Amino acid sequence: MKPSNSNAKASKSAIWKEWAIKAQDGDKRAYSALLGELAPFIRNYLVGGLANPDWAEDITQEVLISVHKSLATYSPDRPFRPWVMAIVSFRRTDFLRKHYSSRGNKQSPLDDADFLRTHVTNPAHAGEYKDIEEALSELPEKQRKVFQMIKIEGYTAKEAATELDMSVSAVKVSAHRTMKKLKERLK
Amino acid sequence: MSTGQLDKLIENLAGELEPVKRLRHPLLRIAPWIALTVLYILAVDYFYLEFRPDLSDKTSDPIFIFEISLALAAGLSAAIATAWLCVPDARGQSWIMAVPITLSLTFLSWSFIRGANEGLEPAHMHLNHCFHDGIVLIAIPAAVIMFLSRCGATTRPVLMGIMNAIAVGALGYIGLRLSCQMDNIAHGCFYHIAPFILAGGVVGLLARRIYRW
Repeated sequence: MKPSNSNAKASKSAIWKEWAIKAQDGDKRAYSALLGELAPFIRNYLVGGLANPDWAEDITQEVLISVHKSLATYSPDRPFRPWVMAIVSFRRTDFLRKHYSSRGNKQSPLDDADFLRTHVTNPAHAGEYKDIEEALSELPEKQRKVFQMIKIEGYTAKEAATELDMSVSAVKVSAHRTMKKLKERLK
Repeated sequence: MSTGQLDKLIENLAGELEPVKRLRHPLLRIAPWIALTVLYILAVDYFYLEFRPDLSDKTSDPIFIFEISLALAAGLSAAIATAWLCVPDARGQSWIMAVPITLSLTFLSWSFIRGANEGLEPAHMHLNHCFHDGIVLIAIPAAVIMFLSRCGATTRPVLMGIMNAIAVGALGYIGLRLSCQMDNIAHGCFYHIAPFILAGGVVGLLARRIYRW
């Protein structure tokens, strides 16, 4: 099985290389075919390693634009796949850096439609979030805040402790107990 | 983004395609910069700063020759690494970046060992012409190598900034050593090395913006 897979991979790489060389000479059909094959390949490569499948689409778009901008840097004496994978890796890191530096991962409230769309695997289960919200609303204010920061908004225990003026261990214990309580409440 | 939008993007990109001029081999791209920078530095030393009067004596000083050779090797290898970094996958030869980094660290270690032995005496810490001369020596080569780097498509902007800084800084350092007569290590560290390290640090911090594509 393995040798045939690697043969298929090699022949695919050879075809991409040929299309890339033709694209550099201005062949629009070869270029369109190349991008058409690259898009699902890149998306499938990315999707498994990202928290949100939509990001894979966004990064794929950025990679295709980057391939377009940097086409002149591809050298026909080199294989095509490492060249394109370097761009994929660069754009993925860039995307994630921007996302986390804007603290986008800490700005999604539970009732935000975008948050639900991107974090609830099956939107039909969104009702379960309502149950969780109800259970949370019954908790004391401070306990609820700790749980929300740690388990929902993605703060680290240290960050939450600083924000709430508590010790790190107290934050961890509180989050753990709340989780236990919620599990029992939602059984 | 839906598959339909992706298809539209591909259609647009294919529609915009024009024949492109392939980037030449990295060595061919960087060779003119190296040649012109060396000529420029020698010309500035000859016409503007003037070579140090004891230069012929210094050519028989093994420490001076070692110092200049090490700086030259670091500068040239960093310039070559810069050209490799212009290609997204660095042509599969990322080890090239290790050469200038190792040489630079060797150079810095050697300078600090000298500093520890000879002492960094404050008496030598006076403002003089070297800072200004350093700027004259590196400003144009730095602008040109940054322009060349931006013509490529680096996927490692910070490393690119560091390579640019080592290339320009090392050649600028040689220019200063050929014109400044002060061999004192404290003077060398503060006026010949530190400004280039600081400039390199600034380029490194701004690298993602400078080399964005």
